[in-house]
Amino acid sequence: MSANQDNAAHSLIGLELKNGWTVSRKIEKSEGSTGGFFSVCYVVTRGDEIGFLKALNFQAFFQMFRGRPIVEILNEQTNAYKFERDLLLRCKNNKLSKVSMIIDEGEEILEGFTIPNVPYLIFEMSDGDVRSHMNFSKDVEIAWKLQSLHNVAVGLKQLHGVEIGHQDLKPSNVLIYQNGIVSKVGDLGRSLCSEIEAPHENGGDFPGDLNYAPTEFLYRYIDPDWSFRVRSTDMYLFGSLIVFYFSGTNMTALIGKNLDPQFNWTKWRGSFSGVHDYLVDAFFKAIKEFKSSISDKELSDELAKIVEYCCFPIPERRGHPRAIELSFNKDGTKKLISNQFDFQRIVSKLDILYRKANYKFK
Amino acid sequence: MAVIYEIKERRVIPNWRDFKRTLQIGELSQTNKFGNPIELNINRSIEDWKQDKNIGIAADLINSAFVSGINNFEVKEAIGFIKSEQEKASSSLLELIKLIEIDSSNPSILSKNSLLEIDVDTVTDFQAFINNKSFHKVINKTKNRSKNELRNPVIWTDLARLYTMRGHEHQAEKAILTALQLAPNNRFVLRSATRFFIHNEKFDKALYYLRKADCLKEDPWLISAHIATSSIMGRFSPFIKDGKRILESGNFSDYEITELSSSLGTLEFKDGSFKKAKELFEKSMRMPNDNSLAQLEWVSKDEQRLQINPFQFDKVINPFEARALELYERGDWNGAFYNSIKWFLDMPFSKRPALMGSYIAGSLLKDKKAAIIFCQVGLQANPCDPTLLNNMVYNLATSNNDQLLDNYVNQMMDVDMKDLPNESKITFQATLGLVALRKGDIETGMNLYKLAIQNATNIKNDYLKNLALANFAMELINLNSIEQDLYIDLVRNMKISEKHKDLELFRSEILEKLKNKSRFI
Repeated sequence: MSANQDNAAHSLIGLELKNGWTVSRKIEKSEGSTGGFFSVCYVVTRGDEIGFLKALNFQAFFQMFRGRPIVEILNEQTNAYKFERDLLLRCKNNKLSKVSMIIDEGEEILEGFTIPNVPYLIFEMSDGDVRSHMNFSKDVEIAWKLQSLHNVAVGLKQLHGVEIGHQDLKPSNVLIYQNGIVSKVGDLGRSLCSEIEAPHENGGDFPGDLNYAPTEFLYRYIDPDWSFRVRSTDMYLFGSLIVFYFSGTNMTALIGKNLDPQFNWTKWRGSFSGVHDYLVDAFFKAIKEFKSSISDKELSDELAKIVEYCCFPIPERRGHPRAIELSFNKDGTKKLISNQFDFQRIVSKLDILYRKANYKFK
Repeated sequence: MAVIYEIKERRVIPNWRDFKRTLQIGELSQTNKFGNPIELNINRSIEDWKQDKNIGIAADLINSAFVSGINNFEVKEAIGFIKSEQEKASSSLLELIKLIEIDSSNPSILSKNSLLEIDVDTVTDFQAFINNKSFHKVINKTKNRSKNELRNPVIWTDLARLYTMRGHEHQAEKAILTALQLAPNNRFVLRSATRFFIHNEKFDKALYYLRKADCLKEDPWLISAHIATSSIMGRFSPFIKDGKRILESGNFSDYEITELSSSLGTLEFKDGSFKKAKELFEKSMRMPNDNSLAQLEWVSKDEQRLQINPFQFDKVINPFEARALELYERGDWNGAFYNSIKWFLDMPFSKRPALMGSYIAGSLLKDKKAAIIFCQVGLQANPCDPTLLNNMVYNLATSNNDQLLDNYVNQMMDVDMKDLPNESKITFQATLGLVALRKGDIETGMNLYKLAIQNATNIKNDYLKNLALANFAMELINLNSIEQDLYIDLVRNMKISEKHKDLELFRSEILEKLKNKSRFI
């Protein structure tokens, strides 16, 4: 019996699940590429409804982490699955419109397999992620890009409203619906929540894809304040996403491009504080470069302003400048509650820019 | 008379270049190991690329490859894909690809030892550079950048340097204070600020900001600056112990500790501990920079046991000060002059290269035009410097340039003599004596020269006395004064130290002139 033959997660086609869904076909997507746990993906239907099923694949873990105790792996992955499910249900219960929604979830038991249990999540079916809609040449699909970014900003704001920080926002985690009209934030597998402990919360390390991480994490700097760290990270990732939409490069790459190689995170052996002034210099060069990727001056100025305060490389000085000013008490101490990383300003600004662009570039 | 007016004691004060060149010279690198760099992987992006090939996924993979420094088959494939769909790619993405292809992580190795904003080979080019109207554009551009990048300490520091080059001390101070506020612990900012404050004789401020830096005790480049600044003020830095600890720790490269070793070596040398000083200077020469090399060259002038040849250190970038000092000592006036030009171009706010260049050009090479240019550029950055004004007046007077002479004499007369050191007073007296003689006021001129000679004798400065004697004798010969024989005899019998080859030249010129004159009688 081959590995896949003895793998319940790979054997769902044609099956009618307990909650009425029928598994119609497998989506040939790489294992592990869709989220925080290794999964096998399927298209499922229920009447007129079409859904996207992510089945937890224990077998993949045993193959990948040979030698590790089986109980440990089962425990770890079950926790990861439960965590994502709980977050998704929290989003569903709060009716978050710009977060990829879970429709259903459950667990199927397939007799005859070494591990018969297949826990799964069913999502609304998307048209794919935003990368398949991308064109980075100047002045192409500007209105669409602004609309999509607006949707994502709304999604992040909604998530923050229910105490969830996404932490892994990147192009592959922005999903497209209704032929591109709607964009939603997907994959909460690496998210963090102030009220639900995450299995991947490893001392404050960056939980998402490090190739998109805010630069401070690449120099092993971790802000001790959980809420501050999580919100400032999402803000950076969003700014970086704006940069990607228009230039095809993320902010981390663009900073690296403008940074002297001796200070690059792959070489630097000193502290973050020893390098952050040079990151600031590279960052401003990156902003200038980003602006040059947009022909319309008004738009490039406005977006650069947003990116500048979203992606500032020193986390304490990240966020809207006015809000940073207001986040300090008169004696210089930090206020406990601050809206330094609030997305409302960004949502409003992107809405205006989208409307203008829709008029201007159509 | 013109003078070099060499500082009495050279200290290892940080040299101040723009950020770009400071980076290239390597003063900002850090090999001290706090931890290993982070390791990244690009597996997810590769898997996505294998499943689906479009410009968005290719860009995603390229970004991950660049950020992680990983380049493999799939990355090359994605690069090829983007190149084949260039119409959908941005210029930033294409540039990123270029950097991945040439492996940007290999720092470029400088193939020559000269790293200047602009290099020149002739005095005319030098003048063109100095008069360059585009300099104002550079200042304006940097000023605009600083307004747009309010939180960028690097740009504020570069702006302060540009202002300093033009002698705008007030604006420069505002800019450097902004940089210090933004980056109170940054080595580039702190070293630049130290040089700025010392340039403007605000030594306390230099020490204040260095002492405030959290990283001072662990940074050899900053401790060296603190020791050197304290030493100028006649104090002992409380961080000497930390400096010694750092040298013994072995945690830093030879290059990183070159200035610190040199600073500590200078202290030991001053205290008369030759053995310790020698050890420290040897350490500083394991991998010297321009500053430590110039320091040892300077120290070696007075200490035969510490002789070095700066030309042997061919890996040092911008070794112009050391070379100018060495060539001057050898009596190679041309070589010393051109190295002074490059030294000034490297540090276009410093008065020492301007003084040296103007003295060599005007007094030794008899190129008055070049000397005047040097004084002009030196005065741009140091508008009230008495020695530069003195050299300017001397060169204008000896080139019979009456048009400009009165203007500079007036400026010179405005200098408050009370505040000047004795050496400067003597120089002023001799130069004003020269001006009076050239303007026909013989009595005043002769009195002033005699006063200068007497005062130099009083303070036992043989070099200045002999310099004044030689200059006076030359003027007396020109005037065919009845007193000339007395002073020619004094010049003939001058005891000249081997290191003062300039005096030797003056004496031979006077005797030659006398010989030629006697042929016509």
